[in-house]
Amino acid sequence: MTDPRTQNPVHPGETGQLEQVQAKLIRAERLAAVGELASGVGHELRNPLNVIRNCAYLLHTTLDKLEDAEALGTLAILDKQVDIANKIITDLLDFTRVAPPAPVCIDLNVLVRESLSWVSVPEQVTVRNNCNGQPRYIRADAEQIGRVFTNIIANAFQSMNSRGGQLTIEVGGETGLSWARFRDEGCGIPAENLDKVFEPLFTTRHRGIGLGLAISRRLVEQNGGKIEVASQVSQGTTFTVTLPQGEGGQGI
Amino acid sequence: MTDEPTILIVDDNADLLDTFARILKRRGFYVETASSGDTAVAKCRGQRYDVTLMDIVMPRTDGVDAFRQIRELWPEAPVILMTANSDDELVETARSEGVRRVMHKPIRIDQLIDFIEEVVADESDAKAAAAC
Repeated sequence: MTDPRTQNPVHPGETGQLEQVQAKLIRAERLAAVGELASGVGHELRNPLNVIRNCAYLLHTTLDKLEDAEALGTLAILDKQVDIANKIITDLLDFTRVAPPAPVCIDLNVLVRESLSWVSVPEQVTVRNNCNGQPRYIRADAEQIGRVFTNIIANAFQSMNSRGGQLTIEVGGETGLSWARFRDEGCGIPAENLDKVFEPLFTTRHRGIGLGLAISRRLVEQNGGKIEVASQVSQGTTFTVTLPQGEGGQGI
Repeated sequence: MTDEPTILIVDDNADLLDTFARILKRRGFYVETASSGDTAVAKCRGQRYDVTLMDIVMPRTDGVDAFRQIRELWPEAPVILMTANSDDELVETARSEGVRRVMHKPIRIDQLIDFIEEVVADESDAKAAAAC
């Protein structure tokens, strides 16, 4: 047996390693292709999405006069789907172009509360948090970390969407570090998938392309922090984002 | 000459141009359209629009180039640029050169209309102040 890249002979014990290297190379090539496509796709798809949104708006103004609630509801779904499609495009573009962070000193409590306000809470889901207590300052790019929190919260809501449950958010700190912990009571992640959830293009959902957590990890790491996950199937998942502490008193 | 606020919409996507025009007409604006940066500049030689809503990425003369040429004709003319890209060097250039706002496609119609109305109100305040 020979290494397909070098044509050198490969010993039986090296076969497993070779397969791993090949898998990584295939993955890297796949990612490079995604990156190349992303900017072109963004421009090409956002124009038709805008046309769809405009058409929905025009129909809405016509149907509004007829007071046809069902038709208006259908158009609202159409408009929401435009946002979902645009989010996929944004994820693709973000994945290939992550801007360097612009760190400021911010209170983690404020950032969590703001991120929560950006996501609609499903009817059967409740949220509990301790984000009104002692300020926990971090030094990070507020917009980037806000996106990470929003992504984790949206994932948590989605995992509890059919079964209901509670999202518990805790903010805390220790020497030099502050953390935010998001614990949901959703379907959980099987052990064999836990180490893959931060890999690009990994997804078990019908919707989405598996970039949200990959982008989140990249954003957290480039802000000097780390993101960790723990999960049990049928019980729920906990994401913990730990970031370097900022100096107190300069929060937003 | 119309009493309604005048809007020039510029985009090389015909369906986008048509639907934006119909929406803004329904909202009471006087609308003209151009399918290229060159046509937009030619139209602006003949009249000053209250607002120009223009795409950035277009063949030949892009939105930023057309914006510069319109500004040479009408230094204070308000121009809103539209872009389908998240992160565009052209956007930063346009902002630094005085474009009123850059809106990202797919544009939320209510936001667009709010902003156009804001620009139009600023314009009439400026006209009233100049008349005093």
